[in-house]
Amino acid sequence: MAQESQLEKPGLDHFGLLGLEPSPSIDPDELEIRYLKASRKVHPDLNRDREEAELIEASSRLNEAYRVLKDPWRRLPYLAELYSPCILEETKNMAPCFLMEAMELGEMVEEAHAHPEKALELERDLSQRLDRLQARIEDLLQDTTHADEAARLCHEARYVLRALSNLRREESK
Amino acid sequence: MAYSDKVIDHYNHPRNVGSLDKSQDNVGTGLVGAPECGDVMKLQIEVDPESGRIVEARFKTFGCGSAIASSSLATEWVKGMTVDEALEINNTKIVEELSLPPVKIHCSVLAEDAIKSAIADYKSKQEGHQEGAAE
Repeated sequence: MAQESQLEKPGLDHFGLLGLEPSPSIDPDELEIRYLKASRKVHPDLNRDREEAELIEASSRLNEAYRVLKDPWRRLPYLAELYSPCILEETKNMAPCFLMEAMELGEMVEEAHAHPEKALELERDLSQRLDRLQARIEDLLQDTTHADEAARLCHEARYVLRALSNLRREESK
Repeated sequence: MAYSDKVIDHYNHPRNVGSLDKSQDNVGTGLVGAPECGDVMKLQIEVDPESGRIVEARFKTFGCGSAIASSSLATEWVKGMTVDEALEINNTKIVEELSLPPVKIHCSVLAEDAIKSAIADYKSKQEGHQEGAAE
């Protein structure tokens, strides 16, 4: 019963909902197991003695927590914000030199559409860049002190993710 | 979510795509981004020094249909305006014209910011120019 009441505790963050301590990296298998277990505890068919509206509310919070935590590009900004509220908003003005780079990135993606042989190379470059960003941000979020730098890099990653998804969308056509 | 006909029209036939020579004194360049979605927008204006009117405008946007339509519309609107008139354009007017849904309002904000940033760049060039001339 203790577990059940914990699920409805309104102040609990996404990590807490799944019984985890806030942390930048998560083992995806462990996360899934925890999610499935917690889901059973709030499934209406398995909990007929409880108020259905309550269960629906609890499971929608659980689903949201799982959706955020399993994706590093949702989890990391979420954690930065957890460590330092409003940090994403405060850091969202990107340096002009980075915006130029983002513009160039867009142009490279456009060019790759016309030259498919360049697309693969670019896709690899962008994926590697994302991996490096992720490693760096995970490192910064080992404790709460570098949330600002982590948030800035999360914004940077958003542009790279955008470029990558544009590139892949065009390839799949 | 369905795009309005006007958004689709601008998306399929964007007006004034391209670049102006940013090294020119009478060209202002605005570069803005929205990290929430990874959109980036460049908007440039060319001002006739005699009349103070914007004679040419270009944009390049990497983003969703609404961001492209907002910046395309912005370049259409600013042409022929004075710099001060162009500063009056706000995102609400863009939202109304394109019937943007609430989730896409940030695209119109981006276009407004791009206009303002291009004008700020133009003005700072003019001030630098005048100081240079006075010396």
